[in-house]
Amino acid sequence: MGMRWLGVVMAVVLGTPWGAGASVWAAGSADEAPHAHQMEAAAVVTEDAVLKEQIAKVDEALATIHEQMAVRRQALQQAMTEGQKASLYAELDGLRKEHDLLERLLHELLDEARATEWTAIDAALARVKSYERVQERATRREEALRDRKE
Amino acid sequence: MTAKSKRSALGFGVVVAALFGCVLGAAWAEEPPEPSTSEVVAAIKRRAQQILEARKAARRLRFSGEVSQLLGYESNPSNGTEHVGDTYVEHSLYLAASKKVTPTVTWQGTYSGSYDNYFEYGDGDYMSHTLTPTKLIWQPGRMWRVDAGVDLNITYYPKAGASNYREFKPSVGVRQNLWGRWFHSVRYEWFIRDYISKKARDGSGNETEVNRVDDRSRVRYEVGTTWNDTLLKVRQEWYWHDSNDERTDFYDAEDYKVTASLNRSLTKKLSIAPSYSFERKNYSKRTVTGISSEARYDDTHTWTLAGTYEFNQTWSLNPSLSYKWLDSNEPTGEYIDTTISGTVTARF
Repeated sequence: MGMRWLGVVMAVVLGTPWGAGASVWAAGSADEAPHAHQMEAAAVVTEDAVLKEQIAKVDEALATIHEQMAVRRQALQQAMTEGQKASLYAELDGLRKEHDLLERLLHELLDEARATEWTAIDAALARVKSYERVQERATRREEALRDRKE
Repeated sequence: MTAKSKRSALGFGVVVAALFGCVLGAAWAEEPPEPSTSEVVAAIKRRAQQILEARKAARRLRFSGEVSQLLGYESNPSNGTEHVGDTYVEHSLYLAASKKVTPTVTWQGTYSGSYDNYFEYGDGDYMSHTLTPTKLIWQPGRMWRVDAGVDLNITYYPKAGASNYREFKPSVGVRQNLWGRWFHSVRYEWFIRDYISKKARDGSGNETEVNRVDDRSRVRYEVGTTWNDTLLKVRQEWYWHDSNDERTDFYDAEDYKVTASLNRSLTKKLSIAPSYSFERKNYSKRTVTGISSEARYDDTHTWTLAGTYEFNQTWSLNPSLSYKWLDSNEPTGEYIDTTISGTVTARF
């Protein structure tokens, strides 16, 4: 975020090609909205620790891919030869495919988290389940003694 | 230049050269190369593959269970007017298998068995096996929890074989979570109890050819809330009992019970659970001794103080103290019963 704004400031204040390139990179990143999936992931609350960890890992992987794509886009601005450009386009294409796959996986995980969202009351009831089995056996013992008499 | 000053200058020169060397080395040291695109993509692919494998594993059949051992003392197990106390033990086993059928539906199968044995009061010994071959739990979102299942039970009294029975119990429950920290739920259970050898009797008390069959229904309504490691619940139960044993109409009753329970974590390992219940049983055909028209009713009060100490993820201890007294318009039916027990549980 800081580098993006630095690039914009330099483009405006310094008017240098580097500053201009940085602002193009910043604008490109903003169009991609790289943090939209992070905001979506943060909005879903689940008590399932495994699911939470998986969402965080995929989200981190998406952020890494965005960074790598940004680096390639910046390099594309400075590429001199057609060969360099072709290589960078191929890398960007590969990254975009992985990005799409991971985004689909993230949406599946988020859908699953939303479908099984736990509230504080779910966690509280789960915590006492073992104790309640002990109490149920005590109740059952009283009923069994009473039923035997009847 | 004196020898001393020459040595000082030399030492100073060595220090400066060393510093200069460090600066040059740092300037010449190559930054670790940035990973290439293929390495980054390969690392991300490996992580995604691990996540997909973990999700597949989560959908596989899961097993869990508990083994418990209880030692207790009861002051009046026969619930009679003469208080004859006895020590008892209970061995119990709980096994569960579960599998996610869809993201919101889980299938669960359980087995629960227990054997209670009194040291002196043999009439109180019984063995119970309950198999739940199917219980489906549906969690469509944050608000609703729905479950439905069937229990198959067999209860065996070693010293009162005529009371042995088989029981079929379907049940359905719906819980609604409210505002994140509240809930209310309703559950309906229907019990059909088939006695293995006991015959139904006619109105005169003569045995018929038909086995005794009891028909029972129970509705439970529960409200609860949680805050600061505390869970408070209030449960109401309505219970109806009917039988094809006309002589046993003597035992037919409508039952209402309300229970308030609190469970609070005092530390990460220790929690306490006080509770109070009141039960009113209105007998439909039993009258008070000596009074031909007044139907009998019983009021049972039970105070319980229990706790849980979690030694670790496997072992826990549940001590419990309960005080029960029954008031009735039939004085010969009144009693007091105190029970103290400790249960050790191992989870796997």
